[in-house]
Amino acid sequence: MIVAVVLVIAAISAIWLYGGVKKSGSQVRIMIDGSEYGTYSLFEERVIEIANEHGYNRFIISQGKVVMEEADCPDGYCVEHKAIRHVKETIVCLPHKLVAEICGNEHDMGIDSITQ
Amino acid sequence: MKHILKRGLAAGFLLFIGIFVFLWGSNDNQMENQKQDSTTQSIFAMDTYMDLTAYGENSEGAVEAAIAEIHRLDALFSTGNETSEVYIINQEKSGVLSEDYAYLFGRSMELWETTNGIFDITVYPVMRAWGFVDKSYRVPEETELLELLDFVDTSKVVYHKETGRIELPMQAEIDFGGIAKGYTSMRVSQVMKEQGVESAIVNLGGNVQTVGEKPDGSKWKVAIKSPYEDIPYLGVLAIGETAVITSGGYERYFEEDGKRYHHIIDTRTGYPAQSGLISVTIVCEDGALADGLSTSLYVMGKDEAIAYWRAHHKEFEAVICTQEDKLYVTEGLQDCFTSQLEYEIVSAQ
Repeated sequence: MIVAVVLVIAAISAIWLYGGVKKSGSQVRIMIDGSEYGTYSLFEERVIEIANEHGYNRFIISQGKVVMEEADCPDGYCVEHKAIRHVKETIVCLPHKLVAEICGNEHDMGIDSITQ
Repeated sequence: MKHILKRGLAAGFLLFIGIFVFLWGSNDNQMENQKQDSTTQSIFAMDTYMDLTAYGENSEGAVEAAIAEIHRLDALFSTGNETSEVYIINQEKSGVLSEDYAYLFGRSMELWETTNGIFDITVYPVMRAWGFVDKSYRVPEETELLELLDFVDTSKVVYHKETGRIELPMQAEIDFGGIAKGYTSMRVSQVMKEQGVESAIVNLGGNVQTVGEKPDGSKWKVAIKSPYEDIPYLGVLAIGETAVITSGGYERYFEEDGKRYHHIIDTRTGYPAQSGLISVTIVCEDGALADGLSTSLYVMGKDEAIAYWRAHHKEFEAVICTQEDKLYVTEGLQDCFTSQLEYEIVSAQ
């Protein structure tokens, strides 16, 4: 009897935990010149500094959003861009060939593309 | 009793791991199958970021072919590329237009006529004076702009359709930047179809072009960017095969002495358009037309843009956002546009 209860609890926990992990999937993927630099959860506060032959960029992940806090590119459009949080939204630093794109949960509003 | 409990816990633990791994594994397989049926790639070209996704068996070949076509057109249209046709024509003031150029020129002439000169490929020297060509931004003197405007006039360009020969006045220079990306998205769509793809979506620097419908037969959901911090999109369009192109002053600009100067020049004044609009989005099957109209209607302002649409309502649809935060949506989009903002439907009459 106790064994049965334990098995049921184990099964339910596995299914519940799995569901929880999948739903919290919103992330930001950072690409440099077409290669993936890294993918980060939107729900962990983080500062990402990138310094390479193109230049310097600093992202902040905070409160489920991503923003470019500082960049030494000539035009600064990436720093002016509003914070992003929805799937397919991007912040692009063109001179540095850097793209941050929100990805993850496919059911987030179901948008296929965003015009700019 | 203890013995049974230990066994029970051990079995429970194994079951827990087993179910978790099974669920995780089966979902990964599903994702892999989906990945096999689609290809996504992103590149930097035409001074912007581009994202291409194709579905179906030959998705990889289609995306490769599309990217090759983008690079071909990038080299072909670039005014800064000294081997490009447009560079040579601007230097020599004459030349013979190749097929892609002939198409662009034809479309540009039509737009010039129907927009009463607002769309004008000879605006290039004015763009250069502002520094939008090489990012050497500056505010030109009014006298300089007035002088340059004398040469902004497509009617002075002579084109012989039979031979493809084009002749420019000495001080004139042309640039197809206002229409080239839209044309490129059209060509990408054609190339992908030639490769057997029936479902694809590409975003060329914010210009969206679709091929067919989504693999499951449903409409694509294309959102219009919102410049507002707290609002994700101006609205969402559920569409089939078409181009969706947005123009707005917030895309490219520079600031001097606290004032912002954007890149959409009003060819009537030589200054960035001050028309009271935040953005114009055009929905049209012809990508080149959508591209040219998006900037033209932005320059026109709300009333003139709506009048223009009413005169051409069978050719395209539009979503106009004013600086008073008002949204106007042409009636052809009534059934496919949704938004958390209030909007007014514009009727064709």
